[in-house]
Amino acid sequence: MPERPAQFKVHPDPSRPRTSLVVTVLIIWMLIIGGQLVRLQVGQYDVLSARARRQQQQTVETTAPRGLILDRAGRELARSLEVDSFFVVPSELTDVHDAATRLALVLDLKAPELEARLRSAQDAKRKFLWLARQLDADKAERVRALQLAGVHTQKETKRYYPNGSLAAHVLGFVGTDDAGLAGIERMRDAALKGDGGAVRLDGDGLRRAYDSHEQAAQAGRSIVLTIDQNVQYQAEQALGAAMEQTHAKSATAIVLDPHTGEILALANAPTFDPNDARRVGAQAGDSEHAAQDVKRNPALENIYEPGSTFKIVAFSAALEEKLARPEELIDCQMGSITVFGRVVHDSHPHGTLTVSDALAMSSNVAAIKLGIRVGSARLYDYIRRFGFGAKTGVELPGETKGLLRDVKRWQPTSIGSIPMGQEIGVTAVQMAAAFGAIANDGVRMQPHLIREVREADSTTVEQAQPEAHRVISAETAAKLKPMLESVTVKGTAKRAQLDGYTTAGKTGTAQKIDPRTHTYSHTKFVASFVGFAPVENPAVVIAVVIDEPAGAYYGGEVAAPVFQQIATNVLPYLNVEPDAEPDQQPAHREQLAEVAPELQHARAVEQAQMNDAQQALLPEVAERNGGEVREVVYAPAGERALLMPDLRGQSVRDAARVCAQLGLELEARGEGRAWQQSPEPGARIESGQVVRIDFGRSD
Amino acid sequence: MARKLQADEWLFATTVGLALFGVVMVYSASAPIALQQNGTQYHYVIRQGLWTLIGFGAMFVGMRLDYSLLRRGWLAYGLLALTVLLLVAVFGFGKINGAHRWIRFGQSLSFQPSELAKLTLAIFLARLLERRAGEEQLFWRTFAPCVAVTGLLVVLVAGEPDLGTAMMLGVVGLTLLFAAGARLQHLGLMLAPALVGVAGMILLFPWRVKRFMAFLDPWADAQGAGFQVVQSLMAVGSGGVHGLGFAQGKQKLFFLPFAHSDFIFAVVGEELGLVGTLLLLGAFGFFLWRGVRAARRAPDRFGMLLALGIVTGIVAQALFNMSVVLSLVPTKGIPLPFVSYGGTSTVFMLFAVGVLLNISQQGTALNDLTMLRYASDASVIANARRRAPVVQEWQPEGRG
Repeated sequence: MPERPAQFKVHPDPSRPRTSLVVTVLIIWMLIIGGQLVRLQVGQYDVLSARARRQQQQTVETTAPRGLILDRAGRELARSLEVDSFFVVPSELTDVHDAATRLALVLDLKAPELEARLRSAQDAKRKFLWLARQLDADKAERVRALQLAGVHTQKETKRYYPNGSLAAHVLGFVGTDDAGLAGIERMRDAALKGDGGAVRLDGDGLRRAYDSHEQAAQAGRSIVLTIDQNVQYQAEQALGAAMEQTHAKSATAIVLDPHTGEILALANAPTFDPNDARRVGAQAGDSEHAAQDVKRNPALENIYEPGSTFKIVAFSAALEEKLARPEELIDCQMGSITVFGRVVHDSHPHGTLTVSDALAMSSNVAAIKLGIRVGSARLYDYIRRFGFGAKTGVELPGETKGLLRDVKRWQPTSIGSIPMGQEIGVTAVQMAAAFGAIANDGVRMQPHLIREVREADSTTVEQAQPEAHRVISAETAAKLKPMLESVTVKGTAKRAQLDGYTTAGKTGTAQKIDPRTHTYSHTKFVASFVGFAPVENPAVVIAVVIDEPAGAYYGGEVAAPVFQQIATNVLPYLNVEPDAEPDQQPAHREQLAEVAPELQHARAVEQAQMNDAQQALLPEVAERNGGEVREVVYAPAGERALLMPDLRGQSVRDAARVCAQLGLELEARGEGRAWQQSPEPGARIESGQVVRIDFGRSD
Repeated sequence: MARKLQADEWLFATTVGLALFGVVMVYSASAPIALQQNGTQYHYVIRQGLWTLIGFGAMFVGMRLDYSLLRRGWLAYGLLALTVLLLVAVFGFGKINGAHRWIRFGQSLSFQPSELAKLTLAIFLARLLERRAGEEQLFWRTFAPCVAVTGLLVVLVAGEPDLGTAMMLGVVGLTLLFAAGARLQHLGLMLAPALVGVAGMILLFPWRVKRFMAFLDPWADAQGAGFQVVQSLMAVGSGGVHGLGFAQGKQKLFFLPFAHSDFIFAVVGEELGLVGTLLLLGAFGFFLWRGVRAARRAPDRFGMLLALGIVTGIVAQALFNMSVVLSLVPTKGIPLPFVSYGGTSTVFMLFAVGVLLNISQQGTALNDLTMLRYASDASVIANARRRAPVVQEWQPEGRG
């Protein structure tokens, strides 16, 4: 641009408007900034503050310890323990090969596989990888001792069932994440779980927490079952023995208090250990199907044809409707009756019997004749009143209501089948409850498993309120009882007789229906016996169902002895006064009396074998008590009194197990191994007593 | 009898208020990092407090000193020479945060010559443009020397590198030339080398390109190039309308970088909310109004231009800093005047306001001075130049 000569020409000075322009530009700039401020602080407030919070806060979820499951006497059947789980932050690993090698050694893993896993996690830039979950204390200690960079520990709770497989089908089990997957654990998962809490950590940009707010987790509630641990144990023992003898496919036993509907024991065989529920079926040879079968609960999921045990319905109905009397004579037509063209036979031909004897001899002909007298409609009504064809409401998942066709859909021949327990499907629980109605003077109590639900601080929040309804009159029930008693005295169930107690019950033997041919099988049977004792004021109803026994298959031969064994052990334990003259042979009587403490004794053996540390001390205790080693340690000193075992040197878990088995309340302090206990080993203790044990870690 | 002259008390109050507010905010924003680095949360606030006191002293000196003194040739040239010397000397000292910006004395005392450069440039250009009154449109006589001096300072500061301050120097130079009446074509020419310079800078320092891209979409690389902006936006955004409350901010806990210096506005946004940020923005708007008013009432052209240079320098820097914090422009490290931590900045800014107050003090009624300041008549200018230091009667406020 060429330089122009200076001109002294007066022209308006541009400073003023130009200054104004500069100011205008700056003001517009300010308005833009103001707009952006409103946009960010009002419009995007939610988004931006949420993003800021996300980087400033970290929330760690905490879970409350799962509630206890207790038996009716307060003995622990399930409790949660804190155990260590280990995880890896792959980026923090310095030497993957070395870490994998050393970890594999401790964790019983294959080093190359572990190394490959760690490397792929590193490559994928994963921030977290579970290494081993819920390790026992020893292994956890060894992993910790490795002091590897990048390996971190987290406390997790593990569900622990101190009695192993005891009552497995009632308790159920939990998954790794502590969610109930079966049994009471699943049914009352919400109550047991409690409310999870959270710890909110305020962290700075250098990932250091400077403040935390904890919302405490609400501890889970405890559930008190109606199950009695000792009764359950007896039932399982008896079933186990029966399984061995009969080689049956499965077996079920239910012990029910008829006056309350409380289930004292619900046992199935085969069973499983809920501590290892996930591993059941994982073993070689077990098909997935078989594993599922073991975990199912046949007592209320399996439907079977009850056979003769079901005859009580027809007999009750006939008596209640005054269509028959116990002493009335009934012609059993030499074991053969034709109903609408179908011929039904008795297993043994009988001529004319009293109604009472007809039941004792389990005559099909008599049952059908009584059924015809009652008529289909009324019979159906009684069947429903006894609780068949509907769920009993017992607090377990998966219960079936059985098979019962509506009376309108009965075939003409049905009246020839149903009174003797065919064409109908029931569950063992339904059967036990039905007999409970007779035992309880005609009033059926709803069978149930949960006595009460307690808050963590022991306040009761829920109590069982079983439904009760009258099925038959007390008079009818009173008539039925001696009839059922005669079944065991002179009928099909002599092997159900008890020493010192009167017994009533009914056997059942039903052919299974072959699923392929839809006809009755000649090789597969369901043998059952349902009974109660003592007859006048029954303390227990015991239902025993044996599925597909090999060899002998009559209920009276296969199931009745199981009933006998359970009742023999359980009645004295329940302090039931004997109501009959003892047997003639005193030796036999003595033998029976000794069975009661068998539970403790058997466990003493198991325990003694299990624990080496304890064995060292046994002779000393034995000497002091002047007896034989095994019997001394757990020998029953009285009704329920025991001798305190030596728990020193045991882990918290093992100590808890022993205490749970003995019905002792454990007050544990510290962690690690027991080093001090109160009372002293060998001291006299009682079931339910509090035992204090100090645990500690030795160096 | 001539009454005692009084400076614009509103301008004075605004400045003091901003500086005190700055001390308080520096405390809140610097406490965590001070505790971390120095073991006491008061490390920075004590220093800032002291510098602010020194700054108030400097402001008082500037206020009492007749600004006409600054018009002296030896002073203007001496100041320019000293500034250039110091700007060159900076390269002899080590880098801090990747730049030579400080001349350090001992362990904890340091001086930032680029802050001096802003004042030097305003004084030098105001003086030169006054002397060239009526000749503003001449390229070689007026425009070229102004651009040469501005360019020299800009290049030296940009070389530190301190692009933010260099830009502010450019803004001051441009504003003064524009306001004085330079031809728009000439000003357009000035933009060409500026663009070339910026382009060259981007080519020479590729990470600046990355920073630039980050400004367009900071969330795309929130952990990398967009980190500062993203943290800043989260801080401002989470303040909402009312803010989290003083000292309750969380972003300063090592999320937000330079929380007590270049990004202190983000802390204001987080802790005091929209209410606080708008008030602060309003304070600078008020400062602009009072400052430009003082410029317009200045008794002579030098005073007018100097005042304008000081006001636009401060306000433009404040707006630029806010724009960086709010991701309206690419990130450039530049402090928020009066508020951000920084000794040199605080002292020179306050001294500059002192000079501005002195100008406002000598201002007379607008109509009286129109002739003096805006005349392009050579004789008037000559008169004005020779005019003795003005002692005028104080004019009550609000007459204009």
